[in-house]
Amino acid sequence: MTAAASPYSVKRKELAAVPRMKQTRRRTSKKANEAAAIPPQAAPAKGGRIDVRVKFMGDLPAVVGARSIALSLPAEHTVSDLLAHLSATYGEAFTSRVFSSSGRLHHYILVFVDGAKVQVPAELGKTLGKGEVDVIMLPMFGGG
Amino acid sequence: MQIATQAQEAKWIPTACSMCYVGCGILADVRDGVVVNVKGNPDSPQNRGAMCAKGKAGVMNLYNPNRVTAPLKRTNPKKGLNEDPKWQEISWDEAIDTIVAALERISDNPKKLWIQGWESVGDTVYWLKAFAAAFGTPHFTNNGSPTCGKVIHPVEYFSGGGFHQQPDLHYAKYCVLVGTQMGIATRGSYNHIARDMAEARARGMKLVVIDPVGGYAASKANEWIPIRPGTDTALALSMLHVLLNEAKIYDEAFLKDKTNAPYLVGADGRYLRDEKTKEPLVFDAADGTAKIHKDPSLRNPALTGTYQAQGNQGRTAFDLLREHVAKYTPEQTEKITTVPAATVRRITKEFGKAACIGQTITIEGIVLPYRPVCVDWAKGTQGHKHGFHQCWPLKLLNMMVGAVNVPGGILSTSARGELPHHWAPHGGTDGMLEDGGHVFAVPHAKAFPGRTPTKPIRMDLTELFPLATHSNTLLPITFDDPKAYGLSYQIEVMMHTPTNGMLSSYGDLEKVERLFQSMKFVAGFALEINETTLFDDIVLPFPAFLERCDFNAGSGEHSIPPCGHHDFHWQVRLPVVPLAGKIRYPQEVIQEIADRVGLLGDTYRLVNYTFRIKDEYALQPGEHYPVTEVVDRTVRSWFGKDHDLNWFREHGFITLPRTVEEAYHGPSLDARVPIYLEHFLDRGVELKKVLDQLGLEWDLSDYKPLSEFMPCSSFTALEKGDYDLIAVHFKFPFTYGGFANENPWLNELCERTDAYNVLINESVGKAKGIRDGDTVWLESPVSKARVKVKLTQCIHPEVVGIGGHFGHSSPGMPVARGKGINFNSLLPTDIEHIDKISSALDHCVEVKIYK
Repeated sequence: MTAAASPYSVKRKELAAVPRMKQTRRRTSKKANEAAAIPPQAAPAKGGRIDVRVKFMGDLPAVVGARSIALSLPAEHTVSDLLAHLSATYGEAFTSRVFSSSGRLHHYILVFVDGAKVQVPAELGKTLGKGEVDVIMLPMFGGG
Repeated sequence: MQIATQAQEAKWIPTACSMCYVGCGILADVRDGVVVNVKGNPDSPQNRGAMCAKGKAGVMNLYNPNRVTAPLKRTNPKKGLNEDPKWQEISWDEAIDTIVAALERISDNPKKLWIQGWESVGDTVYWLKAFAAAFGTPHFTNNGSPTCGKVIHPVEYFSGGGFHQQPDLHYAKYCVLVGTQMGIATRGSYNHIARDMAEARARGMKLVVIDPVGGYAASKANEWIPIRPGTDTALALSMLHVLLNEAKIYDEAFLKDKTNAPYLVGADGRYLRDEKTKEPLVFDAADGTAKIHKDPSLRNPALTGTYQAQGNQGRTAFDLLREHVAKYTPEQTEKITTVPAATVRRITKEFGKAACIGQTITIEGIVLPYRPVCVDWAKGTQGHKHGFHQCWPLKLLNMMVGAVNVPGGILSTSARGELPHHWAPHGGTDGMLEDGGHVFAVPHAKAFPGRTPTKPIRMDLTELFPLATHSNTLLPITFDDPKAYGLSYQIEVMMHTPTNGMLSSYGDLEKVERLFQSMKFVAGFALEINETTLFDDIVLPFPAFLERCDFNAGSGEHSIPPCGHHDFHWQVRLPVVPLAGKIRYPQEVIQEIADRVGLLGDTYRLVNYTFRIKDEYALQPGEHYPVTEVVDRTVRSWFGKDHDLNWFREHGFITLPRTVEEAYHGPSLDARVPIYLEHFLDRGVELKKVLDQLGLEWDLSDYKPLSEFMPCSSFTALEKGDYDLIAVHFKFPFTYGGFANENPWLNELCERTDAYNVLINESVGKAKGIRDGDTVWLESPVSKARVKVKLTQCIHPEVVGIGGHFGHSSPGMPVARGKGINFNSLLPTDIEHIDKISSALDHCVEVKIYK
């Protein structure tokens, strides 16, 4: 049932690396000091601890009561450790939204560390880098 | 000669239609900057040159003299369906200043923002979803219908792996449509599958339509079986009984290896589990021992029987299902459904025989099971108080014969692909299908294993619907008395897209009107001043058909593409004419609003993620991008440097090869699919605890692993004799799913086909002294309206059929105003009419009709 060959068909090998694109015709943000625009700075070590800023999005600010919080955590803390810490701090209201009953992270939860998406579950053991963490709960897609 | 000259001057520009959510490939004839014609793009895989009436008439939407083309503000603070907002044109700066000020007033409590984000056909929904998350509100809803996707998406993701379902019309020999006009009048990829359906019928595929209304689908079918509304569960369970207990037709190999049918279930309804691993146990008939479902030594899981396993006794899930459905004999269910017992037996046996269990087919050298039968369902079955269980046993019919994601069976749309990137469904908890596939990076609808219920924070009570994807239908119910649900605040600011939530997303209009009136501030995008826009404080003009610019050109490419072994295709929607008046692209407006409230970077993070924009093309905090650049960055991310926006301007779409295994992914799926919904039990118990804490008494009888028929209020009302008819909704191909009602050509089509009239059976009309064309009262428990009657033999005698979504009253829609009736306005909207699994609002409503 394959459709007839299209002149627009692309072979797999053509989908290779893409170079940086020239950026044109853009304007600069009116809020240059917005939080997300601040480049992550190396968190100063405090006796084996790092300063972590956790930003919450989606449903989670309503659970936590803030859009972001600042924490001082052991430098070796991982993403899993952070989520466990947040669960302990914010209790069942946080845990029930973030984890399934089997302990898996819900598929609508995204975690970014220093702007990079954490792959779940492979990278949950990753440390918290420079300490800029986003924990995001997105709505599910489809209908309604 | 003149005609020839004009033909030579025609400049056909490729783009994508935006008159409904499908997004067909079209060519626009633009002369001197004016669109004079559109036609289907014959090369587009999405629609293969075909267009529907909505698309052909779309040019009239573009040149609608009543379009909104500049920002407006209301000067009359009093809001209501019958209030004149007294609009005043304002500048974009004033409009955005006002919106930003409203957002900043609630920035300390961002959950007070509600965004209705669906505009059905492009990118704006994803941008608004990103902005809502960045703002920190849980209240992002789609203003689709109060049934839209409520059951199909979660069911499909845990039983098929993709977004929607679609019969494989390329191979099917027997197709049953229940409460849907798939491939004949409606559904995703309509203009593609309509031809597939015609070719299947010409090939000899038998089509059976089960529906209270004998509409377009019935007219094309071999057989139309009218059914009493709200009784599909009973019919499906009866068909399962005939299949499993009378005809004994089922795909044993599929059920053993690809479902949880052999899982052992204890007396408490839960799986027997291995003490050590906690994994479900099955009984291996090959060596007479119980072992976990994924034990490498498992050779022949027993499908039937009662066994001892690790000190406990369990029966197979398949046995429980077979025994459960035995009480639904066709003779018993005939009293519920009105479908004759002999008809149930006949079509079930025909279906079972046509399933060709055991046969295979070879496609491009790949040997696959061949199961050329399918039962398909959609809105008609979802829209019920017990909507989940109206649909689920229909899905089970396909599963019993192994006709799931194999040639000829029911296919899961857009579940798997390798190009332009990898996406696929996967197994998880208990070896069951848990993670669905989606070409966009968006969280898919999911009902397995579900969420843990907890005290609500959300005004739509999603926390109390642990198996639902969304629960927007609750908003008109909770806002009246939030404290009753443990909520101590009100939503204050609403933003919305141009679709019309007032008429299309809820029920009882008085309640929806009060909900919208309760908002302290409303801002919305608008094509025209519809009934939702009447409540706006600020109106933002939105691009119309053929002005838009979207990477996502509709659901036909990302969520509901044509199924079967087709190439993957992608088209972008590019403007063929400039924006009218002072209109701006919504993506650019959202950038500015996000920037002004300090959330541009966060919004970009989620836009980059959702659209899978690669790092080298990612939108950067602090920068603003023209929409063309955003789309350009996205197409390069997906299709490589040689396929930029200019390439799409020239070609319109791209195709990429798909393998047979991607098209028919069932055999290669690394997971089982459920026939027994064990997890419903625990979610129900957990929910009961939370409801008890809140002091709420809800009937949770839907939280059971095997479906039962449970009557809805309209069924009971007729039994009591309080009412004598049930109103149901059906769709017209020329108005369905899009921006059609204010279009003068489509209005003419509606008038000439009596689409504005309600259908009642000829015999009922005769008994009531009502003649064809009479104007009568139609009265539901919450609404009463004058309607014009069309008498027909093609409707169940207990039913009033109401098509389309009419009943407009806004002065901004002079073509549509005062024509037909809005079906949703008839629907009682309270907790008793909500499906406790899916949150669907009951769409069959008891009515009286009289002069």
